[in-house]
Amino acid sequence: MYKFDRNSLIIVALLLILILTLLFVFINDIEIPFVNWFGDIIYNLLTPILNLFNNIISRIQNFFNILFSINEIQEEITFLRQQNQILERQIMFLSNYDRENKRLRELLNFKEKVEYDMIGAEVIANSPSVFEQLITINRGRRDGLEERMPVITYNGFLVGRIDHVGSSSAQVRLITDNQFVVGGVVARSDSREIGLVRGSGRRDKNNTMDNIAWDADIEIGDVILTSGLSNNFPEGLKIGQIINLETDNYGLSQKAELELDIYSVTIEEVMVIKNF
Amino acid sequence: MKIYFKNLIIMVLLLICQLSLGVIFPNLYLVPDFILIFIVLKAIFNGSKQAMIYGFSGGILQDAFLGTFIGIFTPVKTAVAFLSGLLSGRFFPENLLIPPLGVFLATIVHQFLYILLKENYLFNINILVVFRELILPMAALNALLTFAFYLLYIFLGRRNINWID
Repeated sequence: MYKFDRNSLIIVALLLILILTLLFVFINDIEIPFVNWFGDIIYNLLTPILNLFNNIISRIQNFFNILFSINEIQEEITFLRQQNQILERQIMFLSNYDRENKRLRELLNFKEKVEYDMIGAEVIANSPSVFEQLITINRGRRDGLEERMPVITYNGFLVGRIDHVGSSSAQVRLITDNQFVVGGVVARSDSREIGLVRGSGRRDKNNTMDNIAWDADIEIGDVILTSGLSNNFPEGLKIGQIINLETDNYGLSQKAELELDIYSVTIEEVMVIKNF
Repeated sequence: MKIYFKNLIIMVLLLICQLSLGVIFPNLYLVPDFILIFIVLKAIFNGSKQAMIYGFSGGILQDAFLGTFIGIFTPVKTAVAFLSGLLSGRFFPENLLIPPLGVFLATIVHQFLYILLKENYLFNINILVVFRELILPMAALNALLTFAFYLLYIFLGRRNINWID
């Protein structure tokens, strides 16, 4: 039985004060430099262990994968060699187009398009909470990463943005997170309607795209790309496809349900766009 | 001091397991909160005072992976440790149902406190749907794991539950 004697009451009161102080610090977003520094130390101490743990698990997984699928790997190698030859031919053709494109841009005085400066990273940890859609990657400040940099998959699907950077790791807020908002545009030659893509907060729920004009030319099946209207994301990154459309704000606007492209791949490795 | 350090290392290992589970099994929808299970068991067997220290430390560790030092997990886990400690000394260790039940209730309280303190969640979600589809399955998963661990230790003959110290 819990006895509320004098000493216990003092301890309970002190603990309550401690909890309330912590809540006050959290709710008011109070930044205490020493505390942040200490938090960074904990984070930077734990992520190398996570990285090591992840490497060991990956090696074990790879060993068993190779052991049980040698025939499949042989077939895949043959297939990839063929694909490689086809792609080499395509690169040859495309380099001709690229030269032509550059020459025509120069003739028209168009601004040269900058290639993304990207860096690959491995996912080493998931979110500690079911309500926060975050992943931790094994690249950090040492690799030139900064907050708010966009993160994509190798196929070019938008994954999220860098939320917090440690010395050798960083946290990525996923596109499915409740706090994630990005401008989207319809990728159709005869329609360039725009809207805001918002995270659902859950992995099993689709994202929504709202603030679409009530008379916008938008259809189910339309592909949505990043609009690039804000300076946070480059334009043209694939977000997803519209699977449902309905009126919003009593008919003043439309709202769409998006099936995200990142659901079609497993996010084990990502690319961080350092400049665009 | 030595025992606190030992338990801190256990919590770090539990956190690493918790964070890595989703990477090893990408299709896993719910990941159990191992630190919460550990803290609640600590509270049930050792009382509130000790458990609150572990709740505070566990919360700080989890908050570090949400980008803040003292964030939402630190006060929530400390509060849950205190509430769970109220069960301490009220049942026999052979009672297999109390620890899972404690973890089940603690998970529900923990997740509700979390939602209440998150402004963007509090006003944007249907609490009933989240309770039915996220909180309840999570609480059941944590309780099931607690039951399995507790059963294992009881059957291994470690009735004095020294492991929890």
